[in-house]
Amino acid sequence: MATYQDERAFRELDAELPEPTGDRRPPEKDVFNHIGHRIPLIDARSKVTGQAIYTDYITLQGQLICKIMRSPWAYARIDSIDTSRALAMPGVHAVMVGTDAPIRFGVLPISQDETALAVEKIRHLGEGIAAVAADDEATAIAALAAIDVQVTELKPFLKKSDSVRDLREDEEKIHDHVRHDNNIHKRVKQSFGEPEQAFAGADCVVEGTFDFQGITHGFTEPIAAIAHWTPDERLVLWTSQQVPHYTHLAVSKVMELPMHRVRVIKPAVGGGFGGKSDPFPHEMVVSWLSMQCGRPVKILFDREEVFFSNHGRHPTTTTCKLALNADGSIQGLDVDALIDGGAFGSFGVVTAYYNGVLSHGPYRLPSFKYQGTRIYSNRPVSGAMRGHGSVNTRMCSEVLLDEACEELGLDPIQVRLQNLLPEFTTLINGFRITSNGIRECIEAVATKSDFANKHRKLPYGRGIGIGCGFYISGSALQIHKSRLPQSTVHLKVDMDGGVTIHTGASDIGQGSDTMAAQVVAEVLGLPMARMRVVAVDTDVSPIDLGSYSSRVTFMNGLAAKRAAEALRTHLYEAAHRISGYAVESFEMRDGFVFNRHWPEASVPYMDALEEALAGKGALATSGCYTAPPMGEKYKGAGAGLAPTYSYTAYVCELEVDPETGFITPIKVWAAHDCGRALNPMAVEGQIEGSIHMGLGQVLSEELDYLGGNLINANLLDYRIPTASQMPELDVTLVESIDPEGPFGAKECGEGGLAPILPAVANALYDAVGVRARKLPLTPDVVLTALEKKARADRKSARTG
Amino acid sequence: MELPAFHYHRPTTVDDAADLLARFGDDVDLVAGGTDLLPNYKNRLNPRGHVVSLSHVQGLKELSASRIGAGVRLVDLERSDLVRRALPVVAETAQAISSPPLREHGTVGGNVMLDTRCYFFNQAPMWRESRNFCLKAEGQTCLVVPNSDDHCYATYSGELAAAFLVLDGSAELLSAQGPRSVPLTAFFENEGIRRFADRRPGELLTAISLPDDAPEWTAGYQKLRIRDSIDFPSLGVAVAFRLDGDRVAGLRIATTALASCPERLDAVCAPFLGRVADAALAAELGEAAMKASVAYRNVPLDPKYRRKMVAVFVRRLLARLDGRFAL
Ligand SMILES: Cc1cc2nc3c(=O)[nH]c(=O)nc-3n(C[C@H](O)[C@H](O)[C@H](O)COP(=O)(O)OP(=O)(O)OC[C@H]3O[C@@H](n4cnc5c(N)ncnc54)[C@H](O)[C@@H]3O)c2cc1C
Repeated sequence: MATYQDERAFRELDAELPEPTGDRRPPEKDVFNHIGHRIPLIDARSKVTGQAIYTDYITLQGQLICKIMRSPWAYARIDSIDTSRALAMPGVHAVMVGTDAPIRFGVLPISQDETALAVEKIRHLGEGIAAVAADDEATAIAALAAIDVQVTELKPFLKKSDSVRDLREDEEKIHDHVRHDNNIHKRVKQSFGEPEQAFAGADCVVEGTFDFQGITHGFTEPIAAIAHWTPDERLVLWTSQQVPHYTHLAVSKVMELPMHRVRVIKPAVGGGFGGKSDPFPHEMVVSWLSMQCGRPVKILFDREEVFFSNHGRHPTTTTCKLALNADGSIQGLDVDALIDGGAFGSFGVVTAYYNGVLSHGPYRLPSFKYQGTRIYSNRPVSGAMRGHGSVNTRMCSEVLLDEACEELGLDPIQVRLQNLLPEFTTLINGFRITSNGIRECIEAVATKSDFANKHRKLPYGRGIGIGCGFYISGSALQIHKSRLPQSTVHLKVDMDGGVTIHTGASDIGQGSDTMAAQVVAEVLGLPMARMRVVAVDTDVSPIDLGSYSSRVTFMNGLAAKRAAEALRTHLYEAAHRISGYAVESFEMRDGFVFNRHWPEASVPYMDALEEALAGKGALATSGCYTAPPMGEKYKGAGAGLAPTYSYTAYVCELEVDPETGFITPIKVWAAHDCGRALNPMAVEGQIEGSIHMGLGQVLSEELDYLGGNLINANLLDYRIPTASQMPELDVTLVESIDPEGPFGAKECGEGGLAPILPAVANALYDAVGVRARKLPLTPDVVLTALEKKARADRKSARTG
Repeated sequence: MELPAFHYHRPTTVDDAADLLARFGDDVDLVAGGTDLLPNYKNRLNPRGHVVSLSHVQGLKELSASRIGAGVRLVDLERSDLVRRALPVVAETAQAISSPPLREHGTVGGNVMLDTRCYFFNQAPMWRESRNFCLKAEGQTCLVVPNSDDHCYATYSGELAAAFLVLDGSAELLSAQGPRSVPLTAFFENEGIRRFADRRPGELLTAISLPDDAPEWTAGYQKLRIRDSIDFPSLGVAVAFRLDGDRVAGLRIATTALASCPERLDAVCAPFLGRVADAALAAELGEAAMKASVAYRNVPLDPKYRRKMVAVFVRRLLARLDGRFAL
């Protein structure tokens, strides 16, 4: 394991690796036609007029309806399944059980532990046991009721502490592949610097154990898919997905079809937030059923099924320690996270790393110690959710930093500023830091909120707090080790002059289609109206790995930019042939191949295009992105490595009603370093959405379990904040212009979530003096904390 | 999920509606706005073979200070000048219910007659099956209070009833046997399945009637819920009082979302009559109301917390309605 003690070691490490390409502050022209403009998303009209085509809106001739029988048991061994009565029912075309498609799959090659339907064992309440394809929903539901399943119930693992300890005699581990006699899926241990010495020698050590409930994405469009085994013996799958490529791989594996005989199409997607970023059992189910029936088979989940499918943020218990010296300098961070993964692996191995490694910014940590333990339990699967892996630990460290400042009598803004990472540096774990606008972020929110005049100065019941964040902008390492690019874009232009952008990037509402169109339009100096995006149909789109780890704008944006630059070269050459002027004298501007030196020698775009197409046909170019080599070599060094990182600072002002415990956020000042804001309106939307989602986790959202049952598997009792819950928001975009990102851009979709949690928690303390240790901060939880504090205050008053 | 199949009836007069109820006996439900019934039907919660819609029935939309038709929509109450002026507590309560789109459809009748709710009941069939169902639907035992002796503890969550109770309203009922008026204090029963102490088979609610002195009471409503839109109440408190000089001449409190029916706390209020209206009274009254309240863990928020809020809400309501209760 790498242990670096001084800066020199980082520099040596640096020397071996390529420098960031481009200049530190590239002298990109900063007058743009599309980049940096507030452009409505290109699919906004179709969405607000109800004309976007979501998966469930697709109806194919002769389509059957699929329903999945879901387990009412949390943990059980399947003794027998009798489907004969269901199969005999009129209108029922096929019935499927787990053994029909038993090949395991999963998003990570190292966690192939899911099957289409339960095989031998049922591992959580709501897991699929059998499925039917029938003429209509009512018939399908009736058929499910006619399936007879006999099981032997097993003792379920529902408490985190039960999953980490050794098995008892009457217990059976959830997955056989778990190495030891327990239910630990993945344990990560890391240590950098000299944490033991740092903690022993520090002037101030603060510590806390924080309890986080599981939360889920709450996307609007329920999960849906249609599979069609076509007469030419290919499988076509329309699916509401963030990662169609991984679905492509998994369906091909489970259905034992070569990839070229599987076609995956992603229609409009009504939100994902990480909840549609795994290949899913139901995708295998409809595929198998369609292959059986030779007819299209559709499934649309009920909302309960979406909740039981989950893949949301892991319920986590985190013990965190932070060491500071009296001058405010951070000496070390120690994190121990116990993470409940539920029944399957999903992204869990990554989660186990991210809960630690994403704490390496935005402050310089001279020492760091981490233990992450992801367990299996008999709960619905946990997986990736916006801010994946960073959110819970960030809450702990930012709250503890506030506590340390309080103890040392230091200003929380000053202490943060004093510990910030610089630009262009390397961290003790090998992360490569390039552009970094955190200082401007903090200064912006501190100034705008008048923090200095409010902090510890507001009347009782009103408070202000700060929280900062740091997030990957794309994962540098690929999930499947491969030499293929991480993202590719093809462009096609024919005599109509429109530019077709073939991209594999999954627009799930975040706006990646618009982003690609903007980038291409900018490079080609053409209006947006000439752009048309054909996204994610694996027969025609090049591969993009998917919408996760905040990678799309960075990677797909670069691929689009490179494809457009290649296309531009063809037009320059055509203009050269027409006008005789050197290729170097041209730039694309306002519909012309524009001659910079002799404007009158400019060639209209359509003329250049005709010349370029002559004797050749449609122009087709391609661009791609592969992350450069970076980072260290120790085991796990790749986790959290990103070509660049985003930075965030939030201040929240709120009111607490000390008699009822209600927290009312009044205003949030937000600043996010997104490199360059390609589309400020879209970036602001992401930040506002992140704040909303984070407020949900800190104030009201939780997956509330009673044993294996989720009590609130519906959008009434799972309390996502409504519009009326939202405070006023003031969003500042900090543009650090990343040297490698497309036009300097980096991520803005996820990093902005985490900091709102500690900003609220720290403001709660400022308002009424209680520290958050358990989320969500519902009024009963806050009131209990206030009562406890009152008792403690009385006691200490009595004892002197 | 689609609705289960049922026969749908669309009468246009109250008498026809009453006849349909008589005809189908135990196998019929009324539907007004449908905002409660239809979600329950989707979850297969005691669906019936016949559903009689009140949407086209004439004569249920009367709205005056002494009579509020069952077919009046919640949005009509909150927007009515007459209601806002003469019965502000009713407008205020209506406005606290669910969310604006639901209030466009939800009716007074549906709200007063709202089915009781419970974590173990308002769930999908698969969920309920996993717990072997509950007393209120398909099961044998109450899952909130096991060994409850066939008593269902589901929580009544209608809100207008609390306002109508403190104004001393009555349920105007109609069946094939004719009309009847039952004071709301005698109408409900604190049991989650039976729900009504004095509702005869086949009776529908046509209106809520209020005594002539209703506008003379100073009254208000406060609701406890985590989000200030959409959420059902975890507690609702209505108070009404009349002062004679600075002394309390009349006093009523009603709570909802604690028990299986809305409750009027007359025994709690009685000792306070004749006392001077001040902050001490408000605080004592709040404590007394809290002590008289019981809550179970079957709707959002901890039951202990919900009881504590009874005291806070009574005190705050009084202080808000009349500054003397704050002094
Ligand atoms: C998301 C959501 C949130 C909600 N939040 C709240 C809330 O905060 N507070 C609240 O009080 N309610 C809430 N509700 C419930 C409901 O919307 C309201 O109570 C509404 O007023 C019900 O009226 P309705 O006309 O839609 O009732 P319906 O659904 O039509 O009927 C409800 C019940 O009353 C019976 N009924 C209707 N009319 C009559 C009549 N004239 N005579 C006899 N029986 C009758 C029906 O048979 C049925 O059992 C919520 C509902 C939803 C879906």
